[in-house]
Amino acid sequence: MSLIEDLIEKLQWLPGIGKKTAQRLAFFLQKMDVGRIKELTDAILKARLELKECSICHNLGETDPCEICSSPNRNRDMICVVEQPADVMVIEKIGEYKGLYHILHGVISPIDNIGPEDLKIESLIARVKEQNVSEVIVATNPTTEGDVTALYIARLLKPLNIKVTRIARGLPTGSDLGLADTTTILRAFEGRNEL
Amino acid sequence: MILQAIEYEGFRNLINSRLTFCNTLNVITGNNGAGKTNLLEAIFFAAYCTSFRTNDDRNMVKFNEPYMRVTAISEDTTATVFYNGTKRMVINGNEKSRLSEYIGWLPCVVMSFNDIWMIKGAPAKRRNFLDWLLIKIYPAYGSHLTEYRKILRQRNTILQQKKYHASLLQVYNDQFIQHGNLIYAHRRKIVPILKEKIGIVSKDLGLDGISFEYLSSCPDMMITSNDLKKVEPLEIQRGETIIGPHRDDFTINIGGRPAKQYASQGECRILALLLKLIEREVIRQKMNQEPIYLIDEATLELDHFRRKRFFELIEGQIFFATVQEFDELNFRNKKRFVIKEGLIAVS
Repeated sequence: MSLIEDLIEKLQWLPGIGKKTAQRLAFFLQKMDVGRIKELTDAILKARLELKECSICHNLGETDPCEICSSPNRNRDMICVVEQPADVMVIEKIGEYKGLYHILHGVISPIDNIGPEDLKIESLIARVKEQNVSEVIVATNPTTEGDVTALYIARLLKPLNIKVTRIARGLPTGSDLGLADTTTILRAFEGRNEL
Repeated sequence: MILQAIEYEGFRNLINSRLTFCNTLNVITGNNGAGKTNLLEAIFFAAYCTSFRTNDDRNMVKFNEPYMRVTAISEDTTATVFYNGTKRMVINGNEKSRLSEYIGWLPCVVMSFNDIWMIKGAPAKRRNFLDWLLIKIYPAYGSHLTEYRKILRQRNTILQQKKYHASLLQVYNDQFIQHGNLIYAHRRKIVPILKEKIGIVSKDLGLDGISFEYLSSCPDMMITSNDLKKVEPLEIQRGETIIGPHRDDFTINIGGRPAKQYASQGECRILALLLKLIEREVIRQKMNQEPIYLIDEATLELDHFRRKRFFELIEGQIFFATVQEFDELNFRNKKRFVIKEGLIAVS
C-alpha cells in the first residue's frame, strides 16, 4: 500500500469521514505546512492522553473530579443527565443551568447491542442515593432511543422519591407554527404551560 | 389534480427528457423492458419521494449515474425530488426537510398487475395497502409508522435476548402501547369508511355480496397493557411481538366467504381493482381532489364488460402503460407515447 493510500484508509477511521472526504483531507494535508501538521497531531495525542473521564459525572476534563463536579459554585442537589460530553458544552454555553451533570455515554438501543449496563446508569443511581439530590433532569435527545433511556432512568429513580423531569420538546423559538411538522406541534401541545 | 409535465434525469433506463401530458388519457406503449413502468414510477416518485416497486432508492438511479432528479409540474405546483444518496425535496422553490411536508401535493392511485397479491398473497401486502392509503391522506402517519417499527425492532431484540431485561422490557411495553395505539387510532378511522365504500363501489362494478372485514390481533383495535401481559410468556418463548398493528390483516369476503380462499383468478383480479377504486374514493372524500391514476397492465384478465365499466368509472387523468392498445382506450382526448429502450416519443 502506498503512503497516500495508507493515510486515506486511516482517516476513514474517524466518524463521518467517508472515502471521498478522506481523499480530500489527505491531499489537503500534503499542501499543509509541516509545523501546522505537527501542531495538529500533537493536539490530538495530547488530548487523548491527558483528558480524563471524571469519576463522578463521567464528563471529559483535565482533572478528576472535573471542573464542574469540584466547583463550589454549583448547585449540588440537581443533576442533569445527558447522552454525550458535547451536550454538556451546549448547555454550559447558555450559562443558565447551575447544577451538576451526569454523562451516560450513549443511549439504550438493543438492536445495536447497547443495554443499560453499557451506559453510566448504575453510577447515576449510586450518586443519587449518596448525595442529597432533589431533582434529576433527563436531557437525552428527543429520539425514540432517548425517550426510552429517559423512561428507564425515571423507573429506577422513582422508588427513591426523587423528582425526575424531562426537558420540554416543541417549537423552536422565532419559528412559525405553519412551518412546523405535525409531530412537533403535537408534542408542543402536550408540553404546554399555564400562563 | 392534473399533472401537466414531467422532467427526469438519471432515472432507471429512461433517457433524460421532458414530457407534457394531456388531461384525460395518456397511453404509454412499448415492448417488455422498454421502460413503461419506469415512467409511472418516476411520476410516483415525484409525488411520494419513493417507489412503488423497490424499497431501495439506489435501484432507481440509472447505472453509472451519480444522481437522479424528477421534476413534476401541475397548474400551481412545481415539485422536484433529487437523490444522490441523500434525498432533497423542493416544492415551488421551498426545500422541505420532512417527507410529511412534501407528500400529498399530487395524490396518485397506482393500479398494477401485481395488485392481485393483495387478495391472494400474505397479510403484509394488505397491511401495506392500508398503510399507504393512510400515508396518502394523513402524511404524518408515515412518521408514526416509522417510530412504531423502530420500537418494535427494539422490543423484539429484548425478547430474543437469552437473559431478557425485565425492567427495560417494561419501558418498551409502555412505548409500544403508546405508538401502537397511535397507529390503531388512524386505522380505526379508516375501517368504517372502507366498509361503507366497498358496498357502493362493488355495485358500480356489478359485484354483489362483497364485504370488508378488519382482522385485529388486539380486541377493538387497541393494545392494552393487560393484552400484552397475557401474551408475554409466549412472546419471550418465540422472541417476537405477537400482537399489534403489525400482525393485523383484513379480508374481502364474497357472500360471507373469504376471497383469498374461494375466489377465482378473474375474481381476484377484479377485487384487487375494487380495492384501488376504494382507495380512490377515500382520497376524493378526504382530500377533496381527484387523484391521478398510474395504471400498469392492471386490466389484463378482465372480461370485456368489466374493462369497459372500469374506464367509465374513472374520471381523472390516467397514465396507462400497456403492451398493446385495445378498444376501450378509444377516448375522445388522448395522447399516445411510444417508448423504446428508454426513449419516449409522442406518436
